[in-house]
Amino acid sequence: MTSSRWFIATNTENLKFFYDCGLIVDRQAFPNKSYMHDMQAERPKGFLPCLSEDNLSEALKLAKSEDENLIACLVEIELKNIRFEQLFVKSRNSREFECVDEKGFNPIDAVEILLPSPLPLSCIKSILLSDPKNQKKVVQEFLAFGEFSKDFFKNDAKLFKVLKPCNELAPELQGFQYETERCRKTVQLKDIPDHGLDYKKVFAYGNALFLGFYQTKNGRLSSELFEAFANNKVEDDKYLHLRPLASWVFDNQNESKLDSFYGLIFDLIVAEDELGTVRYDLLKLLDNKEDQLPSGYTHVSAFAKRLRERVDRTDKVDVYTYLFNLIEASKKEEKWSSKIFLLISMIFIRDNSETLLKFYHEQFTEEDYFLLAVFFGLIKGIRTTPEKIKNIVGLRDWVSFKMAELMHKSNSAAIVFEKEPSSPILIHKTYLRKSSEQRRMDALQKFCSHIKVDEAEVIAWKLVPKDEYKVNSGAITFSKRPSLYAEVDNKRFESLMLARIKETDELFSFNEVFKIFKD
Amino acid sequence: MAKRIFDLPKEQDLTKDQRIAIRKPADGQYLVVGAPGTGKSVVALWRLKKYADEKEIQFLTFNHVLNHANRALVGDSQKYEMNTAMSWLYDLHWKLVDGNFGNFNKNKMPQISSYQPDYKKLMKKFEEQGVKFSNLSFIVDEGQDLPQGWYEAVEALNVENFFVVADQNQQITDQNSSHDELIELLGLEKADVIHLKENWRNTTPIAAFANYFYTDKSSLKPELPNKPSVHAPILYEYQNLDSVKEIILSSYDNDPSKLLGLIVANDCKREWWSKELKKDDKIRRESAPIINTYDSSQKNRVHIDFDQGGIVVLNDKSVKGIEFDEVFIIIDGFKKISNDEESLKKRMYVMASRARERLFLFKSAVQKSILEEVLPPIGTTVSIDRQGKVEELELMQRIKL
Repeated sequence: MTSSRWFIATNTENLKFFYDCGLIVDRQAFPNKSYMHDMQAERPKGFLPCLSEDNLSEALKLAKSEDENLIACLVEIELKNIRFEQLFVKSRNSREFECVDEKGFNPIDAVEILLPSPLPLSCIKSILLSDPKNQKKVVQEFLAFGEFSKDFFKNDAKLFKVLKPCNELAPELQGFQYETERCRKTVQLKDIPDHGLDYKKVFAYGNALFLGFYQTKNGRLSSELFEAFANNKVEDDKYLHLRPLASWVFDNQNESKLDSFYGLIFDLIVAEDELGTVRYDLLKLLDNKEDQLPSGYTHVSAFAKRLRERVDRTDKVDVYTYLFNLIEASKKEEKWSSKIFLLISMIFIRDNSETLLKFYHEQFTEEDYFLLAVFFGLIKGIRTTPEKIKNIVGLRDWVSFKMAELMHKSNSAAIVFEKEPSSPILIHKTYLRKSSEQRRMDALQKFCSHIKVDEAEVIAWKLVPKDEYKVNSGAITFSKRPSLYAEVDNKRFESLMLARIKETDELFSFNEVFKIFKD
Repeated sequence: MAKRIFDLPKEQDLTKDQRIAIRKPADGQYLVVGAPGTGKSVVALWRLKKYADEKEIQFLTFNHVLNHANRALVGDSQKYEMNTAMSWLYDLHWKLVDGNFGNFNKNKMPQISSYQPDYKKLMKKFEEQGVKFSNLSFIVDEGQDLPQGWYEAVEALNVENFFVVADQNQQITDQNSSHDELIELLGLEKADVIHLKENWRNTTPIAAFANYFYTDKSSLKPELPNKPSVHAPILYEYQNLDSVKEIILSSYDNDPSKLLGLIVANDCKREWWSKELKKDDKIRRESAPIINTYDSSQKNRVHIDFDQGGIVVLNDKSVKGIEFDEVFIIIDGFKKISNDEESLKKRMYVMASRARERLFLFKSAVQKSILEEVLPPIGTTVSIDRQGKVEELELMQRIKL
């Protein structure tokens, strides 16, 4: 029977890596020999072999070829949201691939498609296992990756049986018409060139989106900065400090010395999860023995010396005083150049995303907290994102989509994903605003109690009198029922949210806030 | 005090060898061997997590501190049966003989000496009772520290599933089992023994420093991890102990999410330091750290909170199997055992490899320490490959305080 369903056949260990890095990736993305041999190892680099349901036997064998104790699985791919200009497709009874355009793609005839890597996680329809025992085991193991719909993990023994390819048409494809004037070019597998991909930048971008989103809890400015960064709209002068970070991610054409300095740093250490390694490389760069630093930044030896003292523990001041001195000194510098030293310094003060996000300093501004999160995010890469942030409802799929989009745009690949998952809710923009709606007002009160804030400090309850009212001996009498609304003091909310960083030892829970405002 | 980042590493971050070991079927007998830092305990804990829902598993360690640390690392400790091997055996025996205060003398554990069971008599008892524990699976961490008699006694309970992780280079008791003995005891084939070769816990400089003290001639030195770091081990030469105290306390104050381990030569120093660190007149940003200590007489009363930042003061005999974010070793006061330099090196190996991120040693400027004799000489370096370029890293920095 021919297929209307398409699968990537792999094992659950590679699948875990997909969820860990937030993308369906080819083997070039796997670090330190962690990739487990499967069908894609038999194909050119940079492609994900997607197979019809009657062509799975060999791929399922390969998925367990490194170790018989591996669990094979099928990742069912939703092809209908993928648009492409050209793809390599193998047809039934053919030994070769053909390069076909979208109009020429014949799903009735095809048994294998080489999809350009990576794909966003939202392309996954379901995960199939061979039996209920493995299904149960995998459901349990994937709890670490957040919530999945009830029927996302399934078992289907039939798909895992060795089947002979046959030409009978699937009922749902009977009568299917496809374009006959096809643009086709036959090519042997060995002649399809590898497509070299460097995932570091997209993994950096993904983590920066996660950590940047986390900081949107702090206020409206963070929310604005987040949207500007995610969409690369940083031309306005209010994004002065964010611009060099976005420029590196999106390859914006800027030639400033500051951009080159940031570029050097990112190219050297991006998406490196060992902070000791990052510090090692940074200090070497700042020593400038290889004359790499752009002019204007060549005399940073005093800064490097202070950082070395932090490393050796021979510095005479604590981290707070060090930062205080740095911020005071930077006030004398030109506005555009000051932040980079603060960002680099924090790399030598905190080594983990979670403890960085919990770090509080009286002199840090809302913008500083956001920049630090994005900078740290870029350097540490997506595999270090705290699970609590990865599991924010809706965020994982959206970030995955943005990463896949960036990778294909940067590589000028002729593949586009439709149906961008809805962007995550920004609480200061969406929830913390004036409202006369009963449920929203209740939620505002609940939210105050949730973050342990006296609601009188941030919400003013006001009446909107309709028509006339009289004041009689101190009592107000309305001619018609007045309506009540909540006025939110956003500035006060924002200052309390920043102060809260110091007071709590847990990461802020967006999911609980979403629940409060949805109930 | 702040929450410590202390989670079991993600399965997908482990080495291929570690993952092969974790994947082995739930039933059967397996031995995982590897030097300190190769992630044996991590493998054992992952096995526990993986199979706890489908099997009745007893997870055993040799010492109480390691059992406590493992419980914190695996999380949700109520879900798992975890104990020390000896406590479990004594408890089991007590239950089987229906022990109570009235029949204590009649039914107590047959012993050769205090806390040393007479395994032959115990096996006989088990056999007479015809007890069957064939449903029970065992995961044993630091399995080299248990004597052969312990394994034989447990096998007499008809236990069929053993997953043992061990390193004979780290034997700390006289009553222990070598790899060969374990292989014979468990009746293992070659394929049932998994060798973990790569140092996985430490950074390159710390792993290289620890390797400098590696003495086991029967197996190769662990491979260095590819984790170059600016943080080479540092030997501070101090004039007075206040400067040592200040470095430790300010290290905590700068990042209170870190658990710092201070390792000293003996119990007397351990007690002195655990009191001394609490006396701090300096005004600091963070609240004072929780300072804990442990010695073997405390048995299972381990008060160290591995989930929180703080400072733990231990002597070198209690540190096996556990790890700290940063380790401080005061090398003064160590003594050679029967004039054996190799034993000193072994102790240095175990102490140094406890450090995940930073390692600091302290030596007195006036007092001579016997450990100085085994430290790497000035100028000793290690080669690392960084982005295709070979670079020389100093094996140990020296700083005068």
